Amino acid sequence: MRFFTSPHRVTRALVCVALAASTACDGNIDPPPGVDTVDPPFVPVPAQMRRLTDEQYGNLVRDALPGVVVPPRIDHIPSEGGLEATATSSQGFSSRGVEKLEGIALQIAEQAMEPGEARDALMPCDPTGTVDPACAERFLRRVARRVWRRPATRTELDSLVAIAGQSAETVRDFHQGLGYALAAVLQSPRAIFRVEFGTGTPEATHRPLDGWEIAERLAFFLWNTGPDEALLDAAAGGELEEDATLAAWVDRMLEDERSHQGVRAFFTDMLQLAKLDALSMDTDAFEHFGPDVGPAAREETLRVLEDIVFGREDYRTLMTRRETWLNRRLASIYGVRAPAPEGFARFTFPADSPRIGILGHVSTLAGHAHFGSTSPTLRGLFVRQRLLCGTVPPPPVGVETIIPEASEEEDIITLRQRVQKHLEDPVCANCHRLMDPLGLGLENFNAIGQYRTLDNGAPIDASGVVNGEDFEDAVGMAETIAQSEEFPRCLTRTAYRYALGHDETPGEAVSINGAHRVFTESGFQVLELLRAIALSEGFRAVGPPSDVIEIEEEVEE
Amino acid sequence: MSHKRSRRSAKHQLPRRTMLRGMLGGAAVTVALPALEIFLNDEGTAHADGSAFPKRFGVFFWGNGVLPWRWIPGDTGPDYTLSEQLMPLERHKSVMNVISGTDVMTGGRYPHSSAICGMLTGGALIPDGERQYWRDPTLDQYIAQRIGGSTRYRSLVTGSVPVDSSVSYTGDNQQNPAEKDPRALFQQIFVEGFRLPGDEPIIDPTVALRRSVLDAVLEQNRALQRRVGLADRRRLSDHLDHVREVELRLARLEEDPPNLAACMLPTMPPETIGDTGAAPDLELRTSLMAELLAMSFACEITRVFSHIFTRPVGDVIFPIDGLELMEGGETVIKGHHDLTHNEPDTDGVVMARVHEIMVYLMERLADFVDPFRAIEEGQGTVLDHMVLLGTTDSSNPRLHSLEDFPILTFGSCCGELVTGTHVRSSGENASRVGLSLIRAMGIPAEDWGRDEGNVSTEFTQIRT
Repeated sequence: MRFFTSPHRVTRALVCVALAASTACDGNIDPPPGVDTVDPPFVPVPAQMRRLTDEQYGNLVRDALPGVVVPPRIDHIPSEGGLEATATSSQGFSSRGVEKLEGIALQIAEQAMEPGEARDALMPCDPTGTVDPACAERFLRRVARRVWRRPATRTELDSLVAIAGQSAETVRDFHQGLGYALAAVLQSPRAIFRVEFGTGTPEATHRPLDGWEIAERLAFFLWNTGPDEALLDAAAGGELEEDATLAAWVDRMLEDERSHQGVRAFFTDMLQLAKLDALSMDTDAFEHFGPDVGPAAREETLRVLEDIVFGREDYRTLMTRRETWLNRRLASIYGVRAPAPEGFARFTFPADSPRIGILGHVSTLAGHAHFGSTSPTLRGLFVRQRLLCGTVPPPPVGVETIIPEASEEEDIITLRQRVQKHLEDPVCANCHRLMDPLGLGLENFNAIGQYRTLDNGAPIDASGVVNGEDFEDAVGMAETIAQSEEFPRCLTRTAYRYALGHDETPGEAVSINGAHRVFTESGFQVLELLRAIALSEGFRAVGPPSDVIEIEEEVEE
Repeated sequence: MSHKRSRRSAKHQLPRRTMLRGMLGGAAVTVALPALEIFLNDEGTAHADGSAFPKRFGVFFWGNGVLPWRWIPGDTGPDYTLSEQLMPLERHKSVMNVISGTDVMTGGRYPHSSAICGMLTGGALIPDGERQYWRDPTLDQYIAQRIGGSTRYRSLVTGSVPVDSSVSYTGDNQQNPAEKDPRALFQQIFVEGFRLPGDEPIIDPTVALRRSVLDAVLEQNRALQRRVGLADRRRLSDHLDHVREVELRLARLEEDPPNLAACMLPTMPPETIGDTGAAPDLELRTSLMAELLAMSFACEITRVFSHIFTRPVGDVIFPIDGLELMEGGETVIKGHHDLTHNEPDTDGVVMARVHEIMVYLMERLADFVDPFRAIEEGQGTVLDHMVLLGTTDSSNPRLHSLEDFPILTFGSCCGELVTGTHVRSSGENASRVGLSLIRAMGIPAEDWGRDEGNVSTEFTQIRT
């Protein structure tokens, strides 16, 4: 088995299988494909509905109705590990979320229908009276296509126009009445869910996506918002179903400014950077810490990633890069002169600095620490799981989890000496060996990420072994990780999961391995990876939903 | 070690006889509320129309277990002596039960979350790739799905700690987000769409328009459902139910509000809570939420809630002095979860600081119960017509143990449950407690739970 774990549908039905499958502590992902391995033929994953994230909904609605304000939080997807993007395939909206959405949709519609330039730009026609079904329909047809990412059916359109008319009569105003129909568009399941059917006969096991579905996948993957009018026109014209024109569209999208929004959303999800917004550390112990540090740390890491991605650098420089982005607050933690009096500016650490790459970022170091102290386990878990895609199961119940306290008599002084139990006791070591050595390599950085050489008065030993290679400190560890197979491969796997919204299945090996080959041959350019995923078979087809009662093709407008 | 706690001097009192009735001429007007005995029958045991007081259900969850050796009372029966960690609940001793000795039998794959999933759903927490999957509804939702139909909300989900998550799931891993802002909860349930007993129905033509919008949304949903696979259809069907609930709430605006003697408008909570630094003001947050929840019962806004005090694995910094540790030659403050794993013994005392947190936590639970007892309803109080389940995510948090699980109940649920006793089981399935509460609520369930957590026998010792 190579690039896949359990088929994602397992979680719904075959629970016991999944339970039995992963009790072993396996630090590494599957080995890379050899030259002589042949991937099995592509088998698409059954169509699966995804919900929009709060951020996607906000982006979509602001793009469709410029100027409106959308609350940042409507119905947050619980963060419990793994990608939020894959959770969108199983999560719906809560009861309270639906109630909030009803109010929010009305507010947005009201804003959009306020007299003014924004409304004038939005309206394709001037109404001839309080009730004007033709004008209402022209507006609703266009806005529904944008917000729903495909045209409304005749039935749906009739129903919306009827609401607009009935409401206009009641409130005695064409535009206010139209606002109610707009509110229906904004809270429709067609707006907040992504539903895919593919094309072909209902029995077909390989159902190529239609243009609208491809446009929608591309836009949310590469831009983290819905398709714009031009992309929807391309979908309508069948351009996204042909290889050559699709590739041209993917290139255009990656060159578009909105790809920065998309890349930021992807890495925010992969590296769990959203958690940094609420980062809370002991301000008595760390005078340089404040509530602005978490958001600043998140920004530093995202800007470095944007440099790497859009500068077409080798992704592996994320581990070894000396150049970064700092504001005053981060500079004070790093103990360097701020590169600019206000805001963020580029800064390059000297070549002999102990701080290197993303492992030296506050986002990594403080984002994976305790309130007042470092945690080699949490830091190691982050590197192993998020950057190397290793599997680390949770600790078993009934196991004593305390580590010895520092004691001079017993020569246990540093945290490394204290967590030694994790690596000696076989029950603990089975999994902790995958985390703690990586985290101990970062012990030269305290809980908020400041450099230090002493722990509890004793010199810090940050040496260790990763992938069979000895390292002296964080710099050596980062360089070894950068050279590993796992590091870029983990990006491929994560990006594929992010794009498709599910954990990869054996039938998708040809798509994911193909994308990884392109990524490797490009010298690990992330844009080439994203492009390859967007053009892969897995991205462009679904299997039939297993148990549909009735398939009916609706006539689209 | 210092044991001084920081406390505010002023206790929050539920304003039973006053209410804020909006703004008049720019000034807030406080109006005394008449005792509306007319709404009760002659004995005060039921509503005037003879209908009994409804049964209600609540969950109070806290993260990171207890210290069983200092939490479980040493003796059993109605004359038991409270343990040191339960002492803060002394004023509620006659209306509560301590249940010890049952085991959560659904496995502990994930420390903390497996245990609370087993306790509240009767089933195991399932791996879903890197995520965890709560398959069945939690007790609050199980009950709400069966009795919640006649109130404005099927259930409310709230919390003390200002983070998103909750331990309320509707099934298929759908978590209900907890409202952590008392002011926002007040706005949701006591401002928007709220009318006091005796108020006129709201006749607003735009309400009808909103309902027609929802009708269109429902129709779009149905059209989609016809074309998708089973799992997605279930998700859309849940969504459809949620939309219907919103529609029903709009419809109720046009009806007369229920006549309820005990229902009053609570004081509006402050706009901001004065959390100090990293430590949330759990005292104020918990009391405010409890006051709103208690009144939401009295006003028939809901009959079910789930309140999360702190999260499983929550690393909350508690506003208690003396929790700091010396580590690495420096004073280090640790959060609750960190302490349960990394607090060295203090003069031979195991987890001395965690003990302080447990006492503080039980004080907050006692505060939480107060408003339910303060609202008189008929001859008793709201608490007499409900049961509150108090529980956590492990027994001994350092071991993440599932045995000897800590469980509390408050209220007799209209006489269905005994109170005032400590029942010690010798290793019965903890699901039996869940089944007893379900049946006490009047739901004739044959069994409850799944696989190892499935039971058809009640925990009879707490039933009358």
